[in-house]
Amino acid sequence: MTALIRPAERLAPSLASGTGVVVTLGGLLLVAALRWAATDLARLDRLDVGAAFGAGLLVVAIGAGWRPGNIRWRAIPAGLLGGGVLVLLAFVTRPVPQLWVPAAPLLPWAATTILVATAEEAILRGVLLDRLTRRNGALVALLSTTVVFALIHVPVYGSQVLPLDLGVGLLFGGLRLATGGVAAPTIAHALADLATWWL
Amino acid sequence: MAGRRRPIVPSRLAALAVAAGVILATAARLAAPGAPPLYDGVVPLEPYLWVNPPPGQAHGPNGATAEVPVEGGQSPLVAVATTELQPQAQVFATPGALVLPPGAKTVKVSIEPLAVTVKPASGYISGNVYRILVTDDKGQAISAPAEAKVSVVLRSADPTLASASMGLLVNGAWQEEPVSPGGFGGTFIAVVTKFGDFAVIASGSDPFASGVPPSSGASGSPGATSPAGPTAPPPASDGPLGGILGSRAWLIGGIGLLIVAVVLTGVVSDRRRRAQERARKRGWRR
Repeated sequence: MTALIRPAERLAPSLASGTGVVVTLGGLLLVAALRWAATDLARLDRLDVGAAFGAGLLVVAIGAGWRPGNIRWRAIPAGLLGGGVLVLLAFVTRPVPQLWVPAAPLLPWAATTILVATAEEAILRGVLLDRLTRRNGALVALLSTTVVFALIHVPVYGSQVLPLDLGVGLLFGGLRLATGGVAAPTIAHALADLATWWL
Repeated sequence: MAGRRRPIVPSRLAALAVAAGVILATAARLAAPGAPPLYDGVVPLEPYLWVNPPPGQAHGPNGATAEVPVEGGQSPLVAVATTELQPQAQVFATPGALVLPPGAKTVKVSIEPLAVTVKPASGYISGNVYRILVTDDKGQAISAPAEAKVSVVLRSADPTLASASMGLLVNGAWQEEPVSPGGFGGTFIAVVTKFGDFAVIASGSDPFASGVPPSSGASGSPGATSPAGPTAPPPASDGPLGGILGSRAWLIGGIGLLIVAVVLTGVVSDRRRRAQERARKRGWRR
């Protein structure tokens, strides 16, 4: 089975350095800024921009040394459980049922959503969390990647999503630490995002 | 392989992070239940359709009507929405929520988009006015007690609008009701006790009046909004997959190719690593 984490030990030493962290973070922020500019300034199609954003993040992650590896099987139930909690939370706290759905055909929307979720997890919980853990310890790595995760969503949704995305970032980070790979947070992330088609 | 690697962190930190994450996310959702349900954003929105579009904006909003039979003397479930892909106006009432006139046999609901004719005392109306009427089969008005939580949902023209109120036109003036956010795209929900003309009222100056509208986040090219005439309907389905594929087969193909490339990268990398490990082991044996 394909998947999703290149262990830290396999990263080239130069890439695990402080410079590597800064370069990776810079790449992530650059892609996020381009996405904001394309969506809010150039007013391009959000689905196309989302796909380009996911592809850009994946390129940065691969350039930074991330490679798909083998999935640990326990990651699958852990990811499904984490995603299930988020879906349940969104379901029970929605104010009223709404009839609208995203204005896009299902398959392209779903493919883009999965791509973006995978790419974000690859770079945040894959590359950055791994490197920061080696340099600064797991707690700093967890908190840093959680804050970055929340911040990159602010241009899309506004600052009101910070508390929610900080919580979700912690959950995804915890899944990553518990299972040792990015498969679990990727599954949880994709599941929670995909469920919004019906929520 | 896993046996050689030390665990990155104690499992206690992972458990704490998961627990703290769930608690924080729950608190955030309870504090702002209308916050986006997504944790990441690929949210294509349809352009807002105006009765009287500002320059560069789309024309042609839809209305909706429904007639639902009364069963057992109790008002039925009412869930009516205008027929845009993302409805611009919706009304919801749970069974038994409406106060029916004696002898009512059906509940008639109509939603009609109207141009703005009365401006609010302060702020501006973001989008169209919607006349939402709920009557019985004889045309008698139906109301609802506040505790029944009958709700009207309106989408504003500005998808970036974060706060607003719901206006109900009473005796020629807008009476503002509190709202809760209804999700993406400047959508707002108000609990109502009577029906009539509703609109989203925002504070400040109207961004559409300046000629530089806020980002619509519209799905489709910028040319999808036409200043003259109705917006083109969604492309027709070309087959059984047309409705879910739309015109984005290229996007699916592109993402598929990307996934294949990523997997191949992993396979090549893995083979190279194994070859290096074998070479190293051979070196040790010598």
